[in-house]
Amino acid sequence: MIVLGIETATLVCSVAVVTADKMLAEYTQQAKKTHSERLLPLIDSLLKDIGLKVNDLNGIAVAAGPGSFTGLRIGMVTAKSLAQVLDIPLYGVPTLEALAAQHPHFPGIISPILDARRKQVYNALFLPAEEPQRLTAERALPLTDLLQELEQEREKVLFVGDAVPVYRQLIKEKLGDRAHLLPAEASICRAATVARLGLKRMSAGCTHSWHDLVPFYVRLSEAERKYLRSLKEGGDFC
Amino acid sequence: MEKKLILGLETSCDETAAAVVAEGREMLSNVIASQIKEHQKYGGVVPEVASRKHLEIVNIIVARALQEANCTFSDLAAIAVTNGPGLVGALLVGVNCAKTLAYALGKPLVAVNHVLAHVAANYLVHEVIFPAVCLVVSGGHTSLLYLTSRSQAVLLGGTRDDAAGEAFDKIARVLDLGYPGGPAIEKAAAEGNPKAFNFPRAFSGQDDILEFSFSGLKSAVINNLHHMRQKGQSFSVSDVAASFQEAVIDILVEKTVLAAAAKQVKTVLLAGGVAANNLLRERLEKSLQNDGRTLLVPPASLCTDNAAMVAAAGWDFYVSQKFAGLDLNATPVLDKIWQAD
Ligand SMILES: [Zn+2]
Repeated sequence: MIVLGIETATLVCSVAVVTADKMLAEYTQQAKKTHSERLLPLIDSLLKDIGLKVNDLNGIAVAAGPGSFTGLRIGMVTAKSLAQVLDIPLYGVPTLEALAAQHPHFPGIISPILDARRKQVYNALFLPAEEPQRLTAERALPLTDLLQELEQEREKVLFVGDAVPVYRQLIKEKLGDRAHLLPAEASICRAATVARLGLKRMSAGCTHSWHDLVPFYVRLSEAERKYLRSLKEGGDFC
Repeated sequence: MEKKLILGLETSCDETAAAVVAEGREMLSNVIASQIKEHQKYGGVVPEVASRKHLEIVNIIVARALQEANCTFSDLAAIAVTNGPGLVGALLVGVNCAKTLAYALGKPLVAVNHVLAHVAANYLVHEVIFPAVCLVVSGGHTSLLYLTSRSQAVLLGGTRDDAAGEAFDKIARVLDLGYPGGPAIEKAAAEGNPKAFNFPRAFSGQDDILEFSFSGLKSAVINNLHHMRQKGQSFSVSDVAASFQEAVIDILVEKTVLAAAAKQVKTVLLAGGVAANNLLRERLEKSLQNDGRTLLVPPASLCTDNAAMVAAAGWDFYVSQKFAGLDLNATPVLDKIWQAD
């Protein structure tokens, strides 16, 4: 089974092709160009460079969120459209799970954090493994709340994700030596891991359909939140 | 020989649409999923909500368009997609869907300007003789174009601020008539006196200006309402709606007639969502007839956003082999000139 992995949940654009026991290639870049301009050209050159045609693909795995709303949609509509035309299985891998799966042997808890703007991070906690074991659901919360939660624990905590460089100082202040931070290149989410997890699930017969796969946004849109709040308060919306 | 088929895709605002059109004229399918209900409670289109809805349904709409046209992906000659102007997040869903379909199928991709697509709705139902002038009026655009062929257009003038349709939406909201504003205002205006209020008509009588401005008109209506409400004065909503609509139509007709005369064309086209307004059609037709010109208007179903018009416009770019690359992006702004050949 040859699986294409797509990761566009953050500013990083990453694509990879894997088989059950090999990573054939992975291109990962963080440049000024938008995902819309980069993604397909990157897939095209990756396939060409390893001598594959798009029809050789047997499955598509895509990072399904949370992450940047627009980034997620570009990755997902690309994945869905490939699955539709090629008539092959599709799997949406939770972004935070893929981040955690990149560090299967850490002795402690893994805490991926992605910048969610509005002074919050997207987070879920995992126990390390090749297929990480989830301790919490995905959520968006202020980092200080997360750190308070982690202060109750005794274990070491590994932080990965694009919010790590932003909050390095604060994390060290609150958790001291228990906090383990990775250098930039080890902290980004990579398509090879997305592809590996997707391939595992798809080989086990667990697939999503291009008919109904949507991103795990975690958050409602601004307008929906305001609208719901207005219903609760019984006030005027506009 | 078999006719060449183009699959069109449209996601620039709040309709997710796909259609199959043969050789730029013959509509084989035209599937539209409208999100109007989703946005009604917010009083207008919410970009993030629109983008999410597009992604949920775009691939299904594509499948349905093929099914209704009784064809498969491999029967297509090319994929055409609206890449602007419009809501960026919404456009990106259609653009990336179309790019991927084209890439996976190994077929050419054509990028279509949304305003030119509105014009092309006419080609699906009329035999157009060029040169012609076209007025495109919708929630997003108010543009006068000079067309020398299906694939050559020059922008004569646009709006300096709001689009006409945007003004309709805003005034409908302040009058509590609901969303979308165009049909709501037209309905309320039918029982009102169009001369009850004298609202401003920007650039009226200025024959050297082929542009529009609706922000002054919008403020005038809102200020008037504000004063009347403050003084506890009673007024007729229908009269306000009718007088507002009259001001918009007056200026649209005046500038279009002016453009047609300046370019000495025999044919004038009307396009865009606001073209569904009956009074606008009647008034424009009459004024043009006096000068010996003909007005062509697509049926109402092809005036609002759809993908058949995108596939029709895309045909001309396909014929002249003006293809887009895999790095195609959404472009929210409008160019001044379009040329396929
Ligand atoms: Zn439109």
